[in-house]
Amino acid sequence: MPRSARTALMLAPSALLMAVFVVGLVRLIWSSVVLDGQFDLAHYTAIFSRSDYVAMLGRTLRTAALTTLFALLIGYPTAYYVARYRGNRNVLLLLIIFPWLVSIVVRSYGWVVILGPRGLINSFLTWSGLTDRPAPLMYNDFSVVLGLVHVLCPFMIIAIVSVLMQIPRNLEEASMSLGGRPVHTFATVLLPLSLPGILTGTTLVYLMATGAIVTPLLLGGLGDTMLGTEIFQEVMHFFDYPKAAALATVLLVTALAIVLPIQLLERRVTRRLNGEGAP
Amino acid sequence: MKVTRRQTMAGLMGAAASLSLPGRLSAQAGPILHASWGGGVGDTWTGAFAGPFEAETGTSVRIVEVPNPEAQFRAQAGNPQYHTGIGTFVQGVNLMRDDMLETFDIEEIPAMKNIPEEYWLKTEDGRLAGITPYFAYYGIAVNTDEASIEDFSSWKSLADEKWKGRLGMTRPIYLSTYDLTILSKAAGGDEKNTDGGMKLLEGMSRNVLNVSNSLAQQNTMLERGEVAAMPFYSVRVWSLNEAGVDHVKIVIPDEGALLLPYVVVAPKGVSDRERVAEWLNFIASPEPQERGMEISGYIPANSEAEATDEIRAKLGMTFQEVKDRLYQPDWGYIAAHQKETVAEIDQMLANL
Repeated sequence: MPRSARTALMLAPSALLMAVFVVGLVRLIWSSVVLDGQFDLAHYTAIFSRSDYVAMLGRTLRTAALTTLFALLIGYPTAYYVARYRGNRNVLLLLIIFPWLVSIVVRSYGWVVILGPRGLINSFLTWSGLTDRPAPLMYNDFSVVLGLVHVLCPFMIIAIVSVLMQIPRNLEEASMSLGGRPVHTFATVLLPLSLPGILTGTTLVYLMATGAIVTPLLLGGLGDTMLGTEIFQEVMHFFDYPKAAALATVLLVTALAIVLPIQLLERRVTRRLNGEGAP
Repeated sequence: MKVTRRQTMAGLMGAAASLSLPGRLSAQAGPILHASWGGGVGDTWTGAFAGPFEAETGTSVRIVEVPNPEAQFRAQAGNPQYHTGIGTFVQGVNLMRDDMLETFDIEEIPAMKNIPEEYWLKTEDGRLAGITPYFAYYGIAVNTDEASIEDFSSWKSLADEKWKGRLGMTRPIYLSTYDLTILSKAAGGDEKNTDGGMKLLEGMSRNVLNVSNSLAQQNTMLERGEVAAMPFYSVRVWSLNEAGVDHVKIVIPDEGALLLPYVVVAPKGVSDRERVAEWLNFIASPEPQERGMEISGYIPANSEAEATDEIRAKLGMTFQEVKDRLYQPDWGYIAAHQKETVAEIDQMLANL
């Protein structure tokens, strides 16, 4: 078999997968703009004419941004510790991905036991007399962000660890030996070199947070509905696929508006780090 | 070993055929497949209906637990994999409206004659589109460690500011069909006149700690006392009480509770129609409904079903006395207006 045919054969499965993905995406957008065989933006008009949907979109993007920020703030130091750990690193990595073995429902619901009105923290607060009624730690945007950070943080850690492990330790040592303080070394050596991992982790976490359903459903309050939850309702309860497709397209476009610049930045950073395009 | 192209193709076609076989066989031969919600509902159907039916007729019925039987019916329209499935009355109406249900003549399911016609899911030409095996009711579940039963003798109490942060509530999809309907009744209106009910719902929403459509979560919140009360299903409280949780009680307020009939439907074009009709007739008969009551507290729809002394003691009244305190709305009207009502509630909640 000629080499080109072998290559084509090997690429066939991924091409098929991509084709399914692209066809699905095209069909999704198509079904949101075609009503009774006619091009019609009625679903989009209906979405943007409802103030609660617009607020929901804003809330979804804000929640995703906060989740990404906190996942990064927690994930980076953790990833650094794992990458520089001198013992059995695999044990740490296993601990990080261990929560994935548990259902997302159980992981999210675990917070109720800790933060709920009769949870550990509130029981302690009322028992100790610090408060006379349970503090509102649950069923608000705080608990949604907390739950999402818990669920999505491993993605950020893994993305950053994989890059940090490629950075030779002696680069940091060289910076320090030349008088660089730890903060300066971090800002001028480690951070720029680990930027591709940060950007990958940011993209992953942000995208997954925008489409989250279970965590906002379990931990959110009255005014914390997110777009993913609404799409779930349109599909599972109303079977209104065109409207769900329109909502999903809105989510896709708004997410892309954030993610595409990140991807362009990542490509540019990677090129610079590889020495391409340097003067 | 060298495999020729023809052998490869034959192997692939054979594998494809064998993979598709269970799906094609499932609804054509073997047991009757009945789609049911999970948890206690599936257990009830196995213990009260499927098991006794097999013992009586020799036909086995497999209860398949799925998150939403209606979704299965819609996804498999034109190529049904299930023979029957259970749903709420609103779901039944929606499926019937979309012409997705097999219909039956009353003579095919004679046991339905003992089920009052107000519980029938029927087409405009009088054919049966579903069987009502039982009903539950939607009252107020109260954690008696946190509040007294008397506190909730009226639906209007739910809007009282003193319960701020102490109530639970379901999602707008169910608020639109259940809560709004019974609150409207309590406010002097009904499902067609919901202005007063919407005001009460708004008041209740201001008191709510959280919103959830997970029954397990609602159970836990009530049991742990995270909420003092919430509008809830009688059968869920029954199950809690049977499990030894005696500090959660269901209250039928003075204005009454909402009657929630369930329907068993067959998808349009179902195979083994005769066996399905026999199964539906069994479901409509009093004996399995009485067993269902014992297992999970669903009240039989068949008028000939009788409550044992034990059941009567647990209910605190007879079946008829329960029925007399329940409100049966026009579910067809509710189903037809559900989307607008959900949108209205969504916007009300967003502006709280």
